[in-house]
Amino acid sequence: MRESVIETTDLRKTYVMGDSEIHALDGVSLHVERGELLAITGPSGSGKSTLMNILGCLDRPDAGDYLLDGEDVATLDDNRLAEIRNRKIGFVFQSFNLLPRVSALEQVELPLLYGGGNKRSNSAQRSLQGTESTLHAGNKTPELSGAQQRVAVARDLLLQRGGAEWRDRAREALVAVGLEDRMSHKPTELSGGQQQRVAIARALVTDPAIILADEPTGNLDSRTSEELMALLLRLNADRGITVVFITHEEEIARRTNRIIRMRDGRVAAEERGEMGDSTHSPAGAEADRVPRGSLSRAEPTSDKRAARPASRLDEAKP
Amino acid sequence: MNFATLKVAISALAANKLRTSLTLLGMIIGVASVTALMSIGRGVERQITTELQAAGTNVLFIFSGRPGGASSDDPVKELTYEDSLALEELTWDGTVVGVAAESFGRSLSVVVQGRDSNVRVAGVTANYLSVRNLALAYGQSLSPSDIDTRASVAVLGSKVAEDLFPDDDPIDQVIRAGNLRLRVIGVLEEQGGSSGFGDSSDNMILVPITTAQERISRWVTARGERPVSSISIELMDEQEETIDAGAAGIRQILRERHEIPEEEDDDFIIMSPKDLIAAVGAALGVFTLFLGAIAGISLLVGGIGIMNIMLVSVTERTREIGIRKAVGAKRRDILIQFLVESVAVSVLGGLLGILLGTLISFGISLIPFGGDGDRLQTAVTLDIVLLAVSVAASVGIFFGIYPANRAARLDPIQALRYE
Repeated sequence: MRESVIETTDLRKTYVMGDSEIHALDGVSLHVERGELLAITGPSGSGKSTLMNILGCLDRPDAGDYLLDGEDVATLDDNRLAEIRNRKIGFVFQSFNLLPRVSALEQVELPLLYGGGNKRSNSAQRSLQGTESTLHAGNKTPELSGAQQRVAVARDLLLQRGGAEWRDRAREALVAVGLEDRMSHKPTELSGGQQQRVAIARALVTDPAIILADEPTGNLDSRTSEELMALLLRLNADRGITVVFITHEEEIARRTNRIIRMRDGRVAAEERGEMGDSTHSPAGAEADRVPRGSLSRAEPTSDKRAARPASRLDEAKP
Repeated sequence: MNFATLKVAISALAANKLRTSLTLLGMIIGVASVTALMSIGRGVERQITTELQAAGTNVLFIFSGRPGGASSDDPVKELTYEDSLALEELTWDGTVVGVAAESFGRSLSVVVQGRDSNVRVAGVTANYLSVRNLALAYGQSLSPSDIDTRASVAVLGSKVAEDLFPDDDPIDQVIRAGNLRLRVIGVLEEQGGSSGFGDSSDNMILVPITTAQERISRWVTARGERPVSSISIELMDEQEETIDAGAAGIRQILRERHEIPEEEDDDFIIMSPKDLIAAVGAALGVFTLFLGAIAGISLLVGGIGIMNIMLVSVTERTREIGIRKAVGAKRRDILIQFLVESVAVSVLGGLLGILLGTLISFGISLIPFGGDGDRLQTAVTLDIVLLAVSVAASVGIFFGIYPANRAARLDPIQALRYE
């Protein structure tokens, strides 16, 4: 039995537009397992954006339950939702949504900046492991670890290791998306594909429970789209990160374990994707089909020109 | 708030240099004008208190009049030379060191070597100089025998001496004041300014009080006593108890001499420079604050400038706010980010404004005005600097909180969609 990461029951959301009520979500129950690769698809107005906003803790449902990674998040206040977004969710948007004038490294550090408390305990654990292995090798007394942890936290505070540790984690994430040689570049100095990789690194850096990808290739040409999909699929396969695609592109939807088709605020159909049931798909199987070399290589300069094809703009988003 | 927040704020400000510097300019002008104007107020305050202190803080001045302010139909007995002689009794126990009287001065035309000028001539007692803390530049002071003999001698104020004898040594020169012929025996040191108690001694000619009463004003009271304009009492020190004891002694003697019934008020006023300094200081402090408040209007305009630019900035960066919220920024994070930005502008503007204000204030102190080449003293004191900085920071917070709050309340979904 696999652990579920998203568990919604009868989610409802209604908008009032003038005189008429629009049932954007009309009873959506969803179950997503950890490590699953899921696509939510549907035409404009089907409610998939509303569902994404709620799954992404950007919005609250009017009714229904939502358990994210075991936590009931349906009724949290704005600040608690912000915390959940920070710790458990990584967003990848169609329009990249990077901060202007900020280097790739700092973009990726941003979530760590807003999760200061989270970081400290992590760093304490890391340094604890360090001290244990170097100072107390072969002589680990459990009574000591509490004191050691406090020492480690205090040392982190004194040496301001937080900043350095954030930097290391941001670097790791950028390396994972193949941007090790673009760390100090600003968005204007990056191609569309590279910008989206920065966004993926930013989503990855906090080790989230899920990555929500909202039309992640919508602004990219087909070749860059392919590379980007391969990257997301590989992250899912290698790291077991749950990835939820919100898309109306059938090719993207088909490359997942499972496709949820939305219509009029309900789940109209559920299908298996090409990758089949994730429980039967050994990690890495899909990734093997992707030439790995293309992930870590710097992108060809040609995609700068094709980064924002105008033809994609008229494919209206709901 | 931490270093990273400050860094974000500074890079956001640096991204729009022209806009930031114009906003800064508004703050700089506001704070500079507050600093400069208050420094003038504080300078005047200092100048006046310094002069008051120069008159000596261990001195009591007695004038005729009602302590509560006299009405015209309530005549008071004049203070007289005889009163001052009676007050000499207080010197017996040592509390009072000296009693000096000054007659009513009169402006007389003084002729020296054909040059004619109007100078105030006042009769004083021999110890007037020591009681009033006046020093002799050269020559001699009035002696008790000059008083006794009603000698026709004069001590000149420094400015009078300069005007009458620009080239010559005034000592032993004879001047004609009205119908008097006076031999100059001494010249006072320059006192400067106006002491707050009548004219500055720089512009006066001092003669023996007896000479003045005999030859300048023969006015006597109904009781045949000779009136004086003020009596100065020098005390042994400036302790509160000494001043109180001195004042009590004076009241007792004068009330007796003026035959004032128990239930009636004094018909004289005892004033100590300490009280006066405190009163004048308080009044001038209000004046200084008032100047600051006027200049504060420009600070207000600067603050509105900050608010305006922050509102524009929030709108422009709606999407950025959305992104920050999506990755986990709380309301407070966004609020602080924008608040730090506005406070950074206002505090930086404040510091630069203090610098500019200090320069302006220094410039003002260099400009001569009035015929005598007098200069307005200015003083940029620590309290002005602290006030300016804290007001600037408060302006930043006050005018920054609304835009920052607006940013913090943005709905992340709509902010992310904003084009």
